[in-house]
This record gives sequence, structure tokens and C-alpha cells, in this order.
Amino acid sequence: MTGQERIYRRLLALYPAAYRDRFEAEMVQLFGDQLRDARDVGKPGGSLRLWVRIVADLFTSALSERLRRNRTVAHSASVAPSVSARALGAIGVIGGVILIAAFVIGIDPDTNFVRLVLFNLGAIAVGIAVYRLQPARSRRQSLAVVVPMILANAWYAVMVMLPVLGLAPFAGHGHVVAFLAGVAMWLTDAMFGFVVWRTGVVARWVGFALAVGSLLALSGIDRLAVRGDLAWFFGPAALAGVGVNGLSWILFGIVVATRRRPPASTLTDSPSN
Amino acid sequence: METNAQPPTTPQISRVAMYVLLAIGPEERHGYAIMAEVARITGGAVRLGPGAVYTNIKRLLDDGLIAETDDRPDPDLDDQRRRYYRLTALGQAAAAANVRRLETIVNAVRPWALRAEG
Repeated sequence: MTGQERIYRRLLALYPAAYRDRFEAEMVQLFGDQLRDARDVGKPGGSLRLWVRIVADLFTSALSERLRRNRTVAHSASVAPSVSARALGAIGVIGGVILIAAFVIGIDPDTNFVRLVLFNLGAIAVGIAVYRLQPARSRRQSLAVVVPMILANAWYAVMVMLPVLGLAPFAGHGHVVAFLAGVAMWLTDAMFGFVVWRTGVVARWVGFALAVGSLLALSGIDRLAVRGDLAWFFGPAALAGVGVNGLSWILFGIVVATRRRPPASTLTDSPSN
Repeated sequence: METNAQPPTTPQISRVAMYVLLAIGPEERHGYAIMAEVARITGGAVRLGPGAVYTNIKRLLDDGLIAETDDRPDPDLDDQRRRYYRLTALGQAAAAANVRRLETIVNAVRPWALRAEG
């Protein structure tokens, strides 16, 4: 086996193990045949052109095989998501879309509170839905981050609504309390994303994106505005973080609204819906 | 309304899977031969990599349209590590259905589509 064939064989780790067990030897052999053909043609850069095609072929077919395998396994013995899961997921999608809508369309400052409250409701809905999908072994850990996340988002929504309702219960300290609510919201969103990433059975990489997005968004909180000479980074980073945060809720919403559940007889490791 | 000439008993397959199915044809072919035959029957327009060849072989195996053959050529003539594939009866029916479908499309559009070429 040549060095290039060894590299190709290592890259086959992208495929599911069962697929690899069955086809690895044949695929490496076919790659070797193509490599030989590329050299026989004698054109300069033949091997390089082959590698470009091979890498594209590898990624598209490995992704397709993994998606197909997941679909097959999930659909073989599963039931459709419940109405409540669909509803929670839909609220999450709406919240995420509304959050990032401001990047595309102008939002009237007088109605911006609607956008923020819907975003908070979306986060709360997704938090509940994801918690319900968590396996029993990580339920306690999930609860420890879901509850603070829900409370922080609810707190932030309340802070947004207070001026709209003409209420000022904090006697001149409202901006400090609102600032703390913002910090709590981004931090607990990040913790929630981190725990989903570490323990979740759903959309783990969305959890990772949410954690990173929330921490970046946190950098934009007014009073955290780090030193002025770093504003060139933290301004755009915070905006990107808000965008990633919104996209994460959208993806979470889609996952929880469409994820098929195990049949009732096998629900030993997941809560009932 | 679109009509589907494929009998309901033959599973729907993707375009690339159809190329692989048609490339195997009446022969028993291994991956490299399938890849070369796909390039030949498509006039070089479609060049499959190992990933596309074997993910589609797997799907066709799963759908029962092809089967691995136990027969091996003479060891002196071929690499014994190669696996050979052949069409099953269902695979032949699917190939026929796909060819009929392509034929229908070609016959329907040929009069005007080639007019510009004279």
C-alpha cells in the first residue's frame, strides 16, 4: 500500500463503522487504481487533480451515508414527534428568526421589545423541549442548566417589558438590574449550550455553537465593553455571537420539532412526551 | 401531470445509482469496472469517485437490485480482493423501467431539442 493509499484509508474514518468494515478494502483498492490511472496519463498535476476530486467525493458521500444511516435507524422503530414538541420547536424557530431579523430588516425601536420577548420565549421553549429529550443519565445535569437558563430569559423578558408597561420598580437602578439580566441570560444560554454539547443526545454541535455564540454576544454587553482599543474586535464579535445564538435556537427548534421518538416500549432512557 | 413509468415494485433510485445499475448491466463487474463503464456510457461526463461508487452499490444491495456474486475469475487474471456485483431480477426490472423512462423523455423532446443543430 502506497503512502497516498494509507492517507485515503485514514480518511475513510469519516464513514460509519459498519460501512467501513464492508467497503474499506474495495474503496482503497479503487482509489489505488485511479491513482495509477492518473500517473499513467502523465499529465502534470494528475495526482493533485485526483485528490481534489477524491476529497469532494469523500465528504459528500460520507455525509450522505451518515445522514441516510441516521434516517434509516431512526425511522425503523420510531414515532412522530408529539404536538407539544412541535409547538415548542416552532416557538424556538420563531424566536431565533425574530432575533436575527434585525440584521436584515429595520426594527422600529418602539416595537423592539416584541422581538426581544419572542426571542426569550423561543429560548425557554427550546430549553424545555431539549430537556425532555435528554437521556435519564444526564437529566440532573441538564436540569441544573435548563432552570437557570429559563429563569434568566424570563428575567430579561420582564426587564424588557417593564418600561413598556410604564413600571419602574428599581428606583433608578433599573439599568443595573437590566445589565445583570443580560449577563445572566448570555451566561446561562452558554452553559445550556455547553451541557447539551457535552451530554446531549440532540444536536450536540448546535449546543457548541450556542455556547460560543452566547459568550461572544456577552462581550457586547455595554458595561463589559472591554478596553476601547479592542472595540474593533468585540463589536463585530458580539454581533456575530447574537447571530450564531439566533441560528442555534432556529436549529434547535427544527431538531426538537422534527426529531422522531423511540417507541413507547423503549422509553427507558428518555422522558415521555 | 407527470407519469412514472417505473413499476411500483421497483424502488426509486437516484440518478447516480441508476448509472451504477446500468453500468453493471448484464456483466459481473467490480468497482473499478463499474466506474469505468459509467464514464463510458455517459461519454465521460460522469466520473465517479470511490465514495459515490460504493455508497450507491450499498444502496442497490440494500434495495435488492444488485447482489454480490460468489464467482471469482481465475486468480491469475484478476486481483482476488475484488468483489463482483451483478443485477438481480429486480435490478433488471428497475434498469428496464429507467431506460423506458429515459426513452420516453428523449422521444418526446428530440424533435425540437435537436432542431437547432440542424
